[in-house]
Amino acid sequence: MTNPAAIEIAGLRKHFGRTRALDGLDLRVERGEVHGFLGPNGAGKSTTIRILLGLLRSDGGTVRLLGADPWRDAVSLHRRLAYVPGDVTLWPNLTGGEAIDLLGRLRGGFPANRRDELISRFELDPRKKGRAYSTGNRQKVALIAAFAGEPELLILDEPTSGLDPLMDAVFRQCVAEAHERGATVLLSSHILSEVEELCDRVSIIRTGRTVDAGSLAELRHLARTTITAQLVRRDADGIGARLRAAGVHELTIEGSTVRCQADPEALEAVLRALTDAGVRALTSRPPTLEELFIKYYAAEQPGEGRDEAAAVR
Amino acid sequence: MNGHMMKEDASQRPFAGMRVLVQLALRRDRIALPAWVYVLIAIAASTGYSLRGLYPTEQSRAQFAAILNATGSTIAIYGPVESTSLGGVTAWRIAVLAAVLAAVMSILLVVRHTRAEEQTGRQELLGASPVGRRAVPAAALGVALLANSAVALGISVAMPLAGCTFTGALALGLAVGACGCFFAGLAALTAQFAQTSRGANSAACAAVGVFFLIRATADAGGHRWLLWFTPLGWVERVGAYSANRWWVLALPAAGALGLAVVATRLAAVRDLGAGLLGSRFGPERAGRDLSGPYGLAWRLHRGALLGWSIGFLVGGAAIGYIAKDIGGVLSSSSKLVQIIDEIGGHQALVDAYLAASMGIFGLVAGAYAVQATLRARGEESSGRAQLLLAGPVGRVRWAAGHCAAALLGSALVLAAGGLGAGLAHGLRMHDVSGQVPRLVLAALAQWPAVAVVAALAAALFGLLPARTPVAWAALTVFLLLGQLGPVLKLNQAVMDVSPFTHLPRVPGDAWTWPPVGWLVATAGGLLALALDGFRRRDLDLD
Ligand SMILES: Nc1ncnc2c1ncn2[C@@H]1O[C@H](COP(=O)(O)OP(=O)(O)O)[C@@H](O)[C@H]1O
Ligand SMILES: [Mg+2]
Repeated sequence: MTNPAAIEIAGLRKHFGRTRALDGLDLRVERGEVHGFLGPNGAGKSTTIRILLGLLRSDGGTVRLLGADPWRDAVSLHRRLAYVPGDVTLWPNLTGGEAIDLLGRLRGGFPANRRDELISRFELDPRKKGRAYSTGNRQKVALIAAFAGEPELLILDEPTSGLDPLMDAVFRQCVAEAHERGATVLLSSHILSEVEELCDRVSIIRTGRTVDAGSLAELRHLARTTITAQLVRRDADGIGARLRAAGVHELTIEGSTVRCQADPEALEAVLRALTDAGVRALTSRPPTLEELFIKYYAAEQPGEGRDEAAAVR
Repeated sequence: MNGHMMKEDASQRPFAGMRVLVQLALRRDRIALPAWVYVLIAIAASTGYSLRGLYPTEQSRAQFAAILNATGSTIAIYGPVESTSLGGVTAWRIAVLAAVLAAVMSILLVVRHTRAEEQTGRQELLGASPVGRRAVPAAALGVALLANSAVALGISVAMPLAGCTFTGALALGLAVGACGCFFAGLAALTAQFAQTSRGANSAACAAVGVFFLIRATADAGGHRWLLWFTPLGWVERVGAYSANRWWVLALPAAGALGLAVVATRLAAVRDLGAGLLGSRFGPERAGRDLSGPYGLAWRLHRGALLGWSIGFLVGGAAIGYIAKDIGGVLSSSSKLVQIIDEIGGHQALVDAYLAASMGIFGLVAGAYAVQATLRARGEESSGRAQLLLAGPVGRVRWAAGHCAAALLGSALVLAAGGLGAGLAHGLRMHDVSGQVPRLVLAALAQWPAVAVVAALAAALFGLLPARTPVAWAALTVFLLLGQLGPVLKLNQAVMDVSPFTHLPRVPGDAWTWPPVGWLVATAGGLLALALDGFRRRDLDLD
């Protein structure tokens, strides 16, 4: 492999005074992939991104960005990437158009037609001064400047928090286009539908540590499936005991209806127990994204989910 | 806290929530405000105390006063000595200084709690809670009234402790406090018009400058009727320790009240976040010059630079215009003429006056330098710097742009002041071609010390970004050392702390190059520390 991964982070640590913001974080983003970067508020996403941009200095661990050191080689790396913060502040006396041009020219400029096309797609009025823009419009300014330059790597930190659904759709198109031309995207977001639509893989972090990483299908696979079965007979002999032995969760039996949740490795035993008892109807539902993330985000976690994930990897 | 206050209906009670806002402001300013008040009181007490030691007898003070009133080089800055009692001499020395400081304290205070809050969007949170529309400026003015009352009370108690009489101290304290209140009202007004807190502060501080120049012209040029047209002149007209004209206090009081009423009315009728001035639209595309960190720095600094330069040009012209009259106004008695001759004749008097004025220029240019340098900090904490620094812009290059604006800008501003003085003085002396270069150089002689101030602010930015306001404290210390040090006969080692102490007093004295050289070297060293520190540290956002 001559071409290293776009982002390689291992054991990254960072503290602010007594606060430990990052505590051994790992992250790997391959070239050309759109990578979702998820975690509850305060998990350390923005801190990680600022370290990647050389705005903060790491306290430990290794960080490689496009094969280089983000602190030492900041300037040359920044020629190849664009960044959109979640909370964009603009110069109060510069217009949006001027800010876009300024940010673009820093990276060596961009074709004027590309700029104008994006301005019209995002429906931005570039003649307004920075102080007159709403949160969403300030974000559009940063997004247009980022997409217009067609950089190799896009680092987006909750870039759509202020956008309306229409503009959000434009944003998704732009990310998809960037993906098509081979750009790498690191996208921190709380909007799960956006993540599901755009991201090849995701990394989930909590309290400064990586909890899990993989494709959404893989992550789903690791989570419990909800099973509802109608049995042939009411109160089948010993079905409750057999299911419990197989390791199901939240088991309820009401007459001939059995409901439970099963971990992936318990699935086979559960199905066998059910078919032995005689099944009239069976539905199984994979976890919704919300369920998946609530499980990951919840502060107090039994520990199983994480151990399994580690074991599978 | 005060739940019942917040429940009141805002639309019917324009001042609802004011008490909570005052408490909030006092809590946020719990360090800065007592520090300002303390400094103001300490100036009065320590000046009185020191003058008692230096001029213990009525006779010694009378002699001191006679020389001062004759020479006039100090009259432009402090006004004439009107009473030779200990209190009178003390009041002469500190009245204008304390009034200017009270004005600046009040302006910064009011703008900090009005326009600055609005600009950062914090006020939106308050505006959505049951807080009356007029409550925000009214609360800021209330806090300013409290602070100025504390100053007035403090001065009238502290000066008698230093041996001055009480009545005059009360008059002086009230005059200073009332002046502070007047400028608080003015700042509340500029905060309604300007879009940014910087704009509001600049406009109000420019007014202080203009009023100071009117006062200086009135005193030094012998047009004392002009004193009635400037709040800084009212302080003098109160005549603490001489006439004690209490009724003059009604002028600043009425002015403050009128300004406060207008400002709070305006606050009630305009949109949140909007100023009454300032356009919302501009060019669709960036011009050629806006293409990198230096282009942006120029764009961000040029407005302020233009404003300061014009201010200095006008200020210089006012100072230069009256230079010729120095010493001629009050020196009619033969004894005074003799004193004047002893200290070098009329030319020496004019030069001493011009050199003292250049010293004031230096300090004011120091304020420009600190403001311009700390623009970098504002860019950083607002998050705008990270947009640039996430692009291919080196830290040093970015910070250097702002430092350059401070260093070159302060030279430009000083030169403008010297040019104004040279033109005006030259026209009256029929010697424009001689006076312009002479006074431009004299003004630029202040630059090494200004550069040290800028570099000090830069070093704070690079090494201790959370402590950048210390730069303003340092400048205030330099101001006090320069203004009070010589009269209080402070220890030279203490005086040497201020870079301004080391400058050659030109015109008049000979140029001395070694201090200039090592002041510049000090500035260079601090600047190197600053840039290196900034290169190594984390970006620090609010
Ligand atoms: N400059 C700072 N000073 C102190 N603490 C900070 C600073 N920046 C971030 N933190 C803390 O670090 C943790 C991670 O923050 P952040 O990276 O912003 O989280 P996220 O972006 O995932 O919401 C939080 O606990 C936050 O309070
Ligand atoms: Mg964040």
